[in-house]
Amino acid sequence: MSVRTKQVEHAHYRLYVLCEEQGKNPLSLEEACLEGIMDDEILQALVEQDIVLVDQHHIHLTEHGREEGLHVVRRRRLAARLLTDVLDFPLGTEDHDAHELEHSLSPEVTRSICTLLGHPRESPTGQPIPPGPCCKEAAREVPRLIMPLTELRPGEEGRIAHIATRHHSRLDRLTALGLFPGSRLWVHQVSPAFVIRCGETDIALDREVAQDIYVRRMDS
Amino acid sequence: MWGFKFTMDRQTTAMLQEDQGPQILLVGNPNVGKSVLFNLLTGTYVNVSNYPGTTVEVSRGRLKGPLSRPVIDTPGVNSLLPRSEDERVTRDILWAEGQKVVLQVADAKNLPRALQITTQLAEMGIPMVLCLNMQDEAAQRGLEIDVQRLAELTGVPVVPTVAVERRGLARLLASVNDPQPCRLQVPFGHTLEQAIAEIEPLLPETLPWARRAVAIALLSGDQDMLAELSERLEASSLRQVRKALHRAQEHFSEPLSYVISKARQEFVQGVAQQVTRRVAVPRPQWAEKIGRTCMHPFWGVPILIGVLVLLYEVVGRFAAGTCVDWLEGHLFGTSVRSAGEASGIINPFLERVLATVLPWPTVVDFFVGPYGMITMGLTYSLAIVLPIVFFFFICFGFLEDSGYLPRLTILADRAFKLMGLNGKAILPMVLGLGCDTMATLTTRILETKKQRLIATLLLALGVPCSAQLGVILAMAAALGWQALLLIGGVVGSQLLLVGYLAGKLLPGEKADFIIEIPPLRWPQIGNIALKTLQRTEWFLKEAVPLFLLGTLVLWGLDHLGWLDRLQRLARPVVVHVLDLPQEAANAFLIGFLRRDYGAAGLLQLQQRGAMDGLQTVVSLITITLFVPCLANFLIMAKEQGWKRAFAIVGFIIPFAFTVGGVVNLCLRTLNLNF
Repeated sequence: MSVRTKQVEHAHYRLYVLCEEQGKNPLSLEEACLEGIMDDEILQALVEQDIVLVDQHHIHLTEHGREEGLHVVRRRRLAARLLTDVLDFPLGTEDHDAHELEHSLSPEVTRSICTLLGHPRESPTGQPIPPGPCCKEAAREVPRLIMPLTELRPGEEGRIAHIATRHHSRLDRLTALGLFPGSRLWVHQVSPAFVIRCGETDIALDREVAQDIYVRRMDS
Repeated sequence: MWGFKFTMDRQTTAMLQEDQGPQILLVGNPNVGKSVLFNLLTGTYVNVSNYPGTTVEVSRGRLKGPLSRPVIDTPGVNSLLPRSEDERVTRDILWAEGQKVVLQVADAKNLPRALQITTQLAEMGIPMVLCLNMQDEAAQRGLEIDVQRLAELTGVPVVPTVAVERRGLARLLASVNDPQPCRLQVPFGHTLEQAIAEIEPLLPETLPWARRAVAIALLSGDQDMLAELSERLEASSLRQVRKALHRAQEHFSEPLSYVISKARQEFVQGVAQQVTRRVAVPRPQWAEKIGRTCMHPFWGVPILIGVLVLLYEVVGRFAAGTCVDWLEGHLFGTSVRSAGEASGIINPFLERVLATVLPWPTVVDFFVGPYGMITMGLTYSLAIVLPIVFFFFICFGFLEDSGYLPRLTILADRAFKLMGLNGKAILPMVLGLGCDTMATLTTRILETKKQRLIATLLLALGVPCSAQLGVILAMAAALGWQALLLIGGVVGSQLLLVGYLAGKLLPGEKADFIIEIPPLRWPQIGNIALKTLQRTEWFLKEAVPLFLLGTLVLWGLDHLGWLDRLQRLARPVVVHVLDLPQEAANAFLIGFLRRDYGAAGLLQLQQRGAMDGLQTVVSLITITLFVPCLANFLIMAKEQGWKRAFAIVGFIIPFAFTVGGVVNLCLRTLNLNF
């Protein structure tokens, strides 16, 4: 992919975030200027691809631009997730490579990565990952590497990759009991409640809480 | 004085300001044996009370020995971030003014979780001692802790103990005289450390904690702390603090409290690893195996049923049956004025005394008449409710201390989820079969207000207390098992329905089901005995006045002749909607006042032949669903507030009659009889 195309895709990403996620559709030209997306050539390319409409004062993200933008965002954030969760990139350093990686992801590869990672809902920096068709089917063909705790069977071990919840109190309670990214846990039973052992503590959780804990299955 | 934003009670304040050397605060995770240690350290006088405005129990005592320094036991917590009531109370006590020393009690095998708290105490700068309790369990798991090294790393005295065997106690007492501020410091990373460095100088010098701890609390989102400081800081400083907090949060997508907690966790895991060695493969203990079986989805069930049956036998039959019968029948008895004949010992005796001493019959009646303060009020609370309460507390103490309680709640959880509750609710429900009033008090063990409300509602709605249960079973048995099945089915289904709807419609969060499951242990009889006595005392102080009040109301109603009027009011509904004889109205009304009397009234009607099978079934369903007894109502008002109590009753009365009416209609239409 040419540098030009990458830049266009990057601008598309930025526009999607501004217009869709931050609600600034239409985007005023001044603001676009501040955000650094006012390159004429890039805008021209975006207009040609029917991603945006530009008038005197605003940039409008089109329906097509929104749909396509969704995929761009999805790829970027899944790539970031892949780098931090599987390839252990420290948080903060994955951004550049995620940029690069994203451009080369075909829909099939994207789907596989999403499945591999257990259909994560958020990027490492907390931004939502738009779900794709594979998420809706909760596809399982590619053996999962990272999955919600509810997928583990009794006797299996896992290491917590991340906890996907915004409930502060839930996060704090889990952390205080020793359940946080990096901890190893061992599943004792899954019904009527999840009972796991972490360190020397046995903890019971219900499905709702267990679903938020994404783990990497470990072979002991 | 600091602390006016935090709930502070005079007793603790007074204790903490006494001049007898620093007060000792016991702090630690749940299930580490803190209360056992507390009992070992303190003398006979111990005061257990609820921290004001909460349902959290706090124990205060004095150290055994010449100095008799005050010792305060805080609730078990996993962190000092005020997210739950327990944590808030502990934090408040730590924040209170006065010289203090912390004795942190830790579970030796769960060192990282204890160190979490240790690092927070370190930040506060409070001198402390670390007690590594339950050494025996750590040894069973094959863990060995280098106490010397840990003492070096932390800079505080570290004392291993096995509290239940009193090992290490002497050394612990000695070390309490030489506490040190802990020097563990969690590195929070560049951004956060910078924020802390910005905030610290803005804070006043004279705070109960070191400023670092306050800054970290602010960064963790402690709103109480922020409010507290806003009273003490100039507006400009406060603005700068807020800005610093905001800036710090912007660096992270996750909540700051989470970032801080994670950093803390990683640090303490590292420290724990430095001092812990696994010297042997853990030997699977029988306790562990039994413990696992108790939670097993299949095998755990017979154990659960066994425990519930045992609970019912002890509380429902022995206490509520045998003990109550003896106390009520033989010890307290009845006076001539209350029941037409004298029986037993206390009441007739008092009747004779009062009748001789007081020349006004009305007044005598007030005390020993049918609604007398003594013959009814005191007799009811001491002869009927007290034995039930007492034995329940014993059983509950066993369940708690053995570690079985959390396992029980796991098995019950699924069923109770349907009703907007969780597994813990099984306890009040089972207890309700003994005494609903008592059970309503026990709803305090549920975590959220919403759950307590639902449990209270369901108890009032459909859980018959032991007095009623006996009569209902007797009456239904006379009609055959189909009747029993129908009654049970209707009541049960209504409970589920109302619970389900209440769960959906009432506002409030669902509490997360995250419970720690301690290992099964032999409970300490001494500990249970002490807890039982403390709790019984608490119950007497809370509930007996209510029973007396209820009796007063009854006496008033009777005296004014309103009881009759109320009965006449109820008759139309009873006769027309339920197709029952009009005397049944008395049964319902008296039933509210004394549940067992109500059911007994129906039994009499049945035995006289005034009600046929169908009517019996309808009346039984209705009375079971009907409002609880007056004492229960008063306890509801106390626990939930008058508005809610009236709302509950206001819902139950029409609901009970409606369901009774519908069943009546269905049975008659289908031409069924029993």
